[in-house]
Amino acid sequence: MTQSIDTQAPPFFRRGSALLVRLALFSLLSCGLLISDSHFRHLESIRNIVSVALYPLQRLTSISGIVSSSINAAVETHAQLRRENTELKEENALTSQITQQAQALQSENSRLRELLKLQGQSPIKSTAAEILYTARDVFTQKIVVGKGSHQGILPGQAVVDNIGLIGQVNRVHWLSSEINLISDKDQVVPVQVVRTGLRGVLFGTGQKDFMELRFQPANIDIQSGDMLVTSGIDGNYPMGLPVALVRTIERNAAYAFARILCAPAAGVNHYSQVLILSFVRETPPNTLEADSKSKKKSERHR
Amino acid sequence: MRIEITRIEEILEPARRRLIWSSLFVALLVNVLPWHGWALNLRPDLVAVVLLHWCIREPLKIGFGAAWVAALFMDVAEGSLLGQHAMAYVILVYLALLLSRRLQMFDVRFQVLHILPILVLSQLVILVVRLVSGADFPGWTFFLPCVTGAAIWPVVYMSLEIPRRSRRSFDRE
Repeated sequence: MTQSIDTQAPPFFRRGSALLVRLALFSLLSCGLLISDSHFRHLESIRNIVSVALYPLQRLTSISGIVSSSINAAVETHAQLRRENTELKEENALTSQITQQAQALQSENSRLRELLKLQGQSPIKSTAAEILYTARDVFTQKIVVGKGSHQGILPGQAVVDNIGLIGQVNRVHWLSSEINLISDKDQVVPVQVVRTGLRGVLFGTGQKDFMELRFQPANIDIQSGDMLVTSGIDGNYPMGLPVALVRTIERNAAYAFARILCAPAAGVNHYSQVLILSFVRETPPNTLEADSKSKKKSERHR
Repeated sequence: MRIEITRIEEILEPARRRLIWSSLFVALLVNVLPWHGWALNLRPDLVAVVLLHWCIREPLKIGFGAAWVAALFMDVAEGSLLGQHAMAYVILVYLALLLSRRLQMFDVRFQVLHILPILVLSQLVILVVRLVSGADFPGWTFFLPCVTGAAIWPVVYMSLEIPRRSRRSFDRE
């Protein structure tokens, strides 16, 4: 009794639609996501929802940091702690002196500004935030912190550590936000050389250890070791935050510009807490834009 | 022709969906742990490895949909382009489902030789997507996570089988 064997698989072995069809379907879907995210930025709401779902996970990971630091604390010896204590006391004495001077200078500065009828510097509010993790994406330099739009963080705000500027808030979710480090390839900071007062623009290179001061003439007065601080011209960063130290200067007569490499001043890679500065500066309206608009209007009227 | 059976396949309990999802969750958790310094270049994409494991061992219970959702979470967690991991995982799942019968015949050591090229290919997809969207080539260390991912494959493979051993087989041992 022979039975012909069916070439088709019996229904209980079926695996849904063909593999290739599913591959095509899902890659099309991914392509759609990619295009709409990179070109139109329609998907911020999806990002927001997923980020809220991710938040407990991010919190869980920061527990690992707490555990490791508590282990460290338990292992630390009495002598170590005492040494650290004396160091901190010395540092405290030094900084309190500087703060007193700063207060006197600030009051003097505000009086002078009043006399000269210059715009006063608006006070800076700061929010402390904890770094949750470094983003895995190797193409950008990003960190994720545990404060978001719920705590009043806005995109574009400056982020500093105890030494100086480390980055700018890029994308804000409800409970967390992404920060672009100043060494990111797309990050640009307007700076000023402390020694000479020269203004320039500092570009990130995508590598964490150096940045480039571009478009400066080959005969520029700059030395290695010069400190660069934010110039405050763009209205994004408050004035005078340390940004970078000049490392090497290559002057090549074949090029119009000098190649100036700088190292970030703040610890772009080693910190656990950061401050997010909210700073509002009333900038005068952009006269060039206003002019071109009014011109267009008058042309239309004709 | 004589077919030699080199190892006796242990009969495992079918994986529960709960196990699959919780293992993916743990993998995602490990992926977003705060890593520092050189470990940042080495860290394997555990979500990809766990996905590979389930696609090979339980091809009927997991597929493109689960991979796609996991990829969405990865993209948001890393602040990368939305869809970049989705593209990579879709390729990865396709290859794993295609090779699942074949790979189950191999010993874990030989499976690694299949896993490495699959991981490299999915990483290559990410690279192409980013290069097209205007990024610079980040250097050859970009492919290091594939090597470490393949290296931890045996560990992941063994540890995900432990919860599926039936009580009876434990008793026999």
